Amino acid sequence: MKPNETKLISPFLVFFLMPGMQIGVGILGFERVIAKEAGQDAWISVIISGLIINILLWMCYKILGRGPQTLDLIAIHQDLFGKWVGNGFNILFILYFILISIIIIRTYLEVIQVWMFPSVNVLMLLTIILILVYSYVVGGFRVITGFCIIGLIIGSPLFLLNYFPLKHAHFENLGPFLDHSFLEIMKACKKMTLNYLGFELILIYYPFIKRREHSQKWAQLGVVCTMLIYLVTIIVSLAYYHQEQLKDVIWATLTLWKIVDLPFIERFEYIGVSVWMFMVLPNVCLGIWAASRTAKRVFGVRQRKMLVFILLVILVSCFFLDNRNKIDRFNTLFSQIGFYIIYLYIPLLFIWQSIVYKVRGHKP
Amino acid sequence: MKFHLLLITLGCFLMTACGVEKQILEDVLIAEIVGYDDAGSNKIKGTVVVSVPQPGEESLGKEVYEAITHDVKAARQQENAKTPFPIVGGRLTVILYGEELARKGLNDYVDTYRRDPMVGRDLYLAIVHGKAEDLVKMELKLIKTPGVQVKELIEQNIRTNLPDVDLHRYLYACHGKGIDPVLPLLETAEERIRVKGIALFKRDRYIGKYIPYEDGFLFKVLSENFKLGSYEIKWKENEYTEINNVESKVHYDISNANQNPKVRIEVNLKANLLEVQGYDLGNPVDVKKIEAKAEHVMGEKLNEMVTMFQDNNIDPIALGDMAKSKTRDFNLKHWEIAYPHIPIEVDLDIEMIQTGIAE
Repeated sequence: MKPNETKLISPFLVFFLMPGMQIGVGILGFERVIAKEAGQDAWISVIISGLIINILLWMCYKILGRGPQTLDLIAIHQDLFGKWVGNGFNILFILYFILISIIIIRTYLEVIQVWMFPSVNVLMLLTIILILVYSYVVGGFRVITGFCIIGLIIGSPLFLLNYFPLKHAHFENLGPFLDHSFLEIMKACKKMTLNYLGFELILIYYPFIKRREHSQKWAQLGVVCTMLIYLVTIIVSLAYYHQEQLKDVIWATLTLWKIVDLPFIERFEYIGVSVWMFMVLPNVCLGIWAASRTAKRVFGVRQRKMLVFILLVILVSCFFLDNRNKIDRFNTLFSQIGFYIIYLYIPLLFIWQSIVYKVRGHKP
Repeated sequence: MKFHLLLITLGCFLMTACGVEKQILEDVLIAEIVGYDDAGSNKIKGTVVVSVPQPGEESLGKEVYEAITHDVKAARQQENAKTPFPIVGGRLTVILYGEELARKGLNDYVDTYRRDPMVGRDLYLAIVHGKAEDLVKMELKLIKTPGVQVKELIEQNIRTNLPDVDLHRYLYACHGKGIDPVLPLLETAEERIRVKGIALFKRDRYIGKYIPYEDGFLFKVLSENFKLGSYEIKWKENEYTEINNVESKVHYDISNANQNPKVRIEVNLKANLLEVQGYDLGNPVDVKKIEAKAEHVMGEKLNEMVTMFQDNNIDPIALGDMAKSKTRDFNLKHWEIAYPHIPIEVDLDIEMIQTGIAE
């Protein structure tokens, strides 16, 4: 089932889709979690896990490129495991995409609650965001891609804010180099996973790329770009905070913006949080789009109907996540699920596909 | 369909204000300085200066409110009981702590500012010799310009005699291991506010000792690279020289931190001389003499200062932190035990690069 030619995107746009999906709310506070494990060597974990993601992305492309009829995960599942079992896996993935969206939306709303308006009506705000999401997702994949690019363009000036904490930086904090054991660094890598999640959506939107075989280099570059952004952020944070201090700063990047001192604005983080909406919304749109698209392919229902249903599920679920503890636990749980999906499931799928194709004597 | 969707979205945007507390500038009192004092039996006394919006084009008036409670947030609540509008802390610039309270430890009273997202990070903390309350009240009498006097006082002196200390630096030093914070020590003197020196801390406790204002320059030389300030050297009776700092650089050399630590602090000071009594600055020999003499006098002072830190077992120059970042498998316990007895050598090198525009 191939999408219409008019619905396709150019291969280089994948470059924006990668960071567009990977950088979300995680970057606002990932420093604390990984610095707890690896201290001043946390930045090494950022690089290592980034490179692992590159390899996994390569696997995704391998999986996708093997058969002419199996252009997305849904078709691959049905092809490899048969219709029923395959669809079972597909349903799990629908849940996974919905979870991704919930986690992003809810964490962002929490940031708004804690940093800007403690008394804000979360349900109301959520409804508004979901209506926005609806209007984008209904527009189709091209619209979402465009939104990703706009989000990145609007959000990227925030990256320059790193200049301000640099004035207070103690770069000696980064020494001594490699003072943590391999295990500790690997643990930090594991914790870093949640922040790189999102690249696996390529398994769903692959058929929407024109000259898909050529898009890999852009995708890889996109992942490297994400890694560099995380790398700079972690290095600035490590230099700005004392390690002991970093352990109890929940949103290190956001707190970093507090030091921004511009003559015309006293508290920059308010603007930062608001602008960040443009980074978060494409995330959510892509996640929900992937979920509804998979659902459409599995159940054969119209995508718009599935979309409304999924949005309602998200609305209801956020109702139950009403305090910091629950959100944090949910985040940790999701981090685990995401970890197994990308580090275990994708390589397994890759191997299983190779075996099946060898047995069938299939030629790529 | 599209039009309807647009209408719904717009309508929702208009309703976003629901549930959010409004804060109109004219209807809030903006706290500028807060002072906390020990009020006995586990209570503290909070004193706050707020700027009061006034009608017309007149500048803002200021008022003081006080309250005695158990903790910081409750103090604000109590103060609200006396004010016509709620007090907001978003533009707080200085937090002052009374000497007695500081001796008991500041953690409980800084914590709320660390957590509160409303509060910025370029906020100054300071200790008041005596009662914070008096100093806060002094601020009212000093209104000449719209700015906050205490803040400007601290900011001005940070360039020369006070280390760069804001809320972030304090938290950095207080949470970090192998490093102790310092804060400016202020006092009231004849209807003025004055910087008395640098208050020394062990963790979050003020140890009751301070570096006098004049020697603040020396502490700054020891702890950071900077470009301003001056120090007066006494030659003999009634003969003084003022050394102006052009650029000061400090480098720490820590060896063998896990067994027998040894510390060497190298200070390179490029200075100019503008006022000398009893020497001829046109004469290179004399300049060399002055350099040597200044190195001797200041070097001795610096050594004294470092020894004083060791005697009190405090580490405001962050030597422990420095050692940690330069040593593999750093043993903090060992360092902490060894610290008071570590040989610390201060090596001062002064270079006179200018002697003014007259020969």
